[in-house]
Amino acid sequence: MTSKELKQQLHDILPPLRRFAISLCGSVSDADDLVQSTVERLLTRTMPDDVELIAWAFKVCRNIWIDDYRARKVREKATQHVELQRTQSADNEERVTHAMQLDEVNQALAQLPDDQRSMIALVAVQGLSYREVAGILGVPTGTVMSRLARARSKLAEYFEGVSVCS
Amino acid sequence: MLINDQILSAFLDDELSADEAEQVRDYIAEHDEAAARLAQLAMTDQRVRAYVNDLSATPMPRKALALLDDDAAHNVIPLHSSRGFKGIVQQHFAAAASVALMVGFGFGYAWQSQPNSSLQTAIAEVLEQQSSGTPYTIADGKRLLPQLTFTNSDGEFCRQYQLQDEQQQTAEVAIQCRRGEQWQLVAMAEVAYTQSTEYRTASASHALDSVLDQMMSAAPLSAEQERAQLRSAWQLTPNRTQTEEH
Repeated sequence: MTSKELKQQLHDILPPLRRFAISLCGSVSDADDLVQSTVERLLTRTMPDDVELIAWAFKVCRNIWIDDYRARKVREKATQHVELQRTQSADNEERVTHAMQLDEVNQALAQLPDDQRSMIALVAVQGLSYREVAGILGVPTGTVMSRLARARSKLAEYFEGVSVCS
Repeated sequence: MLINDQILSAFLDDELSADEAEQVRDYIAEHDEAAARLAQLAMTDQRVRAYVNDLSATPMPRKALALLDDDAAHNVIPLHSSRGFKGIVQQHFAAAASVALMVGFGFGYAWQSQPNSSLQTAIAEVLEQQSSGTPYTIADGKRLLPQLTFTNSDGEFCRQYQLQDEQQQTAEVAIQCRRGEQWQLVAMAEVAYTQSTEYRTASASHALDSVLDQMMSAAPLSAEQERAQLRSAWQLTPNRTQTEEH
């Protein structure tokens, strides 16, 4: 693949790659930094022959996330607010409720261990198959299944706990 | 088969065999709590997706985009109008860059490294007539790439460009403004010379961001607006309906 072809393909997968980064990071600015680092690495390292570009891109992205971002990240406290982008709601109360909902999901995701968060990002958000995920992460499909189930269960528990208290 | 979270989860993802899926369906039909659990797990997915959708509905990271733009037509700096042009500026000076800035637009300024007159004539010709985004060779190994056009607070048209000298192995980013019929150098930064198109575009382009921020009175001209000005020899009144962002 020529450099130009690679760039074109990377350009095409940038939206899902960015969504993946957002799923992992919980803030747009962190996610965009992660995308930047990922693209830089993808442009400078050779990709293995037998792998699809998007799978490789997700793998690289996740590795950088684990190495660079997770290590720096301070455990989110209850008061931390997710970076709120413009919402569609004009109504102030709606906006506040919306912000709280986003915040809640952000907190829920933050309490997941890395491997479970990655599963949610790849399957629940991205819609990849267990086999594809197994290929990306280099684990058996059975592991994908069990980790994902634990992740969903943990999220469900969190949401339930929150709604009981509020 | 034991119907537990793992099975329900795999069912949600359509990862069970046809037989297994059938078993789950039968079970859910008979057992309310299993159905409720399935709905709950599905709901968590839905909430996470909605959250990611919300955060994703923001401009794509432009630095990453810049790294991927091979096409000369995209060598203009993509400034996101939805964010406003002020405040997007980040200090992004290459280690080797030094900014030489004109102080005062009036008379009597001293300029250290003014382009010699024949080079300036060649530059002016390109700025006067050519669109942003395409590089032009102007005399012995020098390539000029106009990058963006904007109006300053005095209503003058200004253009940022990159000038690369392949013989000398030097490069610069500069801004010139059109006063009367003349183009005049207003700001310049030397940047690291590199053969690599992508890195030159991505990092060197932004050496003058802080200057742009001060000078710009509105968002830069679109390709169409720029073409219109070029065709009219810069006689059209700057379009005030361009988004003026604060």
